[in-house]
Amino acid sequence: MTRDDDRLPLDSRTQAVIDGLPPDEREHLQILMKKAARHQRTMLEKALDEAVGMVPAPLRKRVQKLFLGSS
Amino acid sequence: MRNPAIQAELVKLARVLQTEISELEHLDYLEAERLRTLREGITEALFEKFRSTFTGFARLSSMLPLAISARISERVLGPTLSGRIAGEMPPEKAIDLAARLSDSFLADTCLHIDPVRAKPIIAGFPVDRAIAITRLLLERGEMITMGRFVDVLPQQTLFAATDAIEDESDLLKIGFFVENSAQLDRVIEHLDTRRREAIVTAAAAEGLWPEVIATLLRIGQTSRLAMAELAMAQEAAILDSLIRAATEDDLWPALLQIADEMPSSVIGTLAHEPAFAEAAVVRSVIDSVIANDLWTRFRNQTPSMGATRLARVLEVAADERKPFLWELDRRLHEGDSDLAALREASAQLPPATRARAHNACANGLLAATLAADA
Repeated sequence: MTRDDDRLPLDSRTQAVIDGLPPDEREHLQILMKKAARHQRTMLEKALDEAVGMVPAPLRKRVQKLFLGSS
Repeated sequence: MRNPAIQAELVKLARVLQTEISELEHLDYLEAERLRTLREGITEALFEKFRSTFTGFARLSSMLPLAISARISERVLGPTLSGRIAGEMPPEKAIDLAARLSDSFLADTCLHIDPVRAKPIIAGFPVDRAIAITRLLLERGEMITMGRFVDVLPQQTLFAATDAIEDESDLLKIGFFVENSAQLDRVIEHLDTRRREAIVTAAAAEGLWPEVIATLLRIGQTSRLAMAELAMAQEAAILDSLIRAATEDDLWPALLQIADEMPSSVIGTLAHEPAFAEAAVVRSVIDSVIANDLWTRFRNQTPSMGATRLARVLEVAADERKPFLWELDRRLHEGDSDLAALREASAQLPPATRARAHNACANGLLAATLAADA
C-alpha cells in the first residue's frame, strides 16, 4: 500500500450535498472524511502485515502478490 | 418536532465515519434523504478508495484453509474490516467462513456490512444462525442495523426473525429503520391480530406514534388501512395518546392523509375523544391545516366530526385563530359537503361566540350561516 492523500473519490451527488453546506460545516465534514480514510488505511496496513505473518510460509509470496498495487 | 429519520441517518453516518454522533449533530437540519445520499456516497468512496486491498483480503480467504481465514478475521481484521470485505467474497465461501466464527463476532460484523452488497451471502445464510445473531443484535439495541438487514432478508429468515422478536415495541423500532417497504408489508401480513394490536399498544405506551405514523405512510395501502383501522378500534386511552402525540409532533398532515384513504373516519373517531375538545389540540389542528395547506383533506373530515366538536373548532378559531375562519369562509361554496355540518355546528355556538366568528369571516357562506343563526 502506498500512502497517497486521504481524499475520498466521491460521486457527483454526494459532492453536491457537501458543496451545498456552509463553509465551516463543509470543512468539518471533510476533516472527518479524511480522518475516516486515514483510519481505514492504517487498519488495513496493520491487518495486512499481521495476516501475512499468519499465513503458512510456503504461501506468503503468493499472498504478497495478491496485494501488489493496493492503495 | 423530533425527526427520528434524521437521527437514524446521523447515527448511520457517524458509524461510517467511525466518529461520535455529536460530531455530526450540526447537520441535523438536513433532510433525511440528503443525509442518506451523503452516507451512501461516503460508504462507497471509503470502499472504492481501498477496493484493491479489500479484494485482496477476499481472495486471500479463498486461498487459505477456513480455520486460518477464521483466525485472521477474528484476530486481525476485526468486525469493521471483515464487514467491508464480506461483500467482495464469493457467497458460498463467506457462508462457510461464517460457520467458523462466533455469533458475537458476526453480530459485531453486521454493524459494518453493507447488506445490499452482501445480499447473496444473506440469501444463503442458515436461518438458525441468523436468528441467533438477531437475538444478539436485539440485546445490544442495534435497531438501525437490524432494520437495514430486514431490507434484504429472504422471506423464510424474515418471518423467523419476526417471530424471534417477542416485544412488539422492538418490532416497531426496527420497522421504522427499514427502507424496503415491500418487506414491511410482508412482516405486517405475517403478524396475527394480537401482535398487530400489541404494536399499537406499544406505540401508545412508549410514545412511538411518530415512528408508527411515519412507517404507516411508507407501507402499501392495504397494510396501512388494516393497521389504521385496528388503531382506531382501540380503547380511549390509546386514542387519547395518539391525539396528544399528533398535537405535540404535528402528525395531523399524516393522519389526514391516512384519513382520506379510509372508508371510516379517522378524524371523526379521534374527534369523539375528550382530548379533541382541548383548545391546544384544536389550535394544533387549525395551525397544521393552514401551514400545510390541508384544507381539502380537513374539510373532507368535518362532517364526521359531529356538530359539537366542529362548533368547538369554530369557537377556538373565533377566539384565537381568526384567519382560519376567514379562509374557510372564502373557500365555502353552495353544495359543498361540509356546509351542512358547519351550519349545524354554528347553531350550537352561543350568540357572543357566533358574533366573534362572524366578524372574523369574509362575506361568504360561513359568514351568512353565522349571521342567520344570530
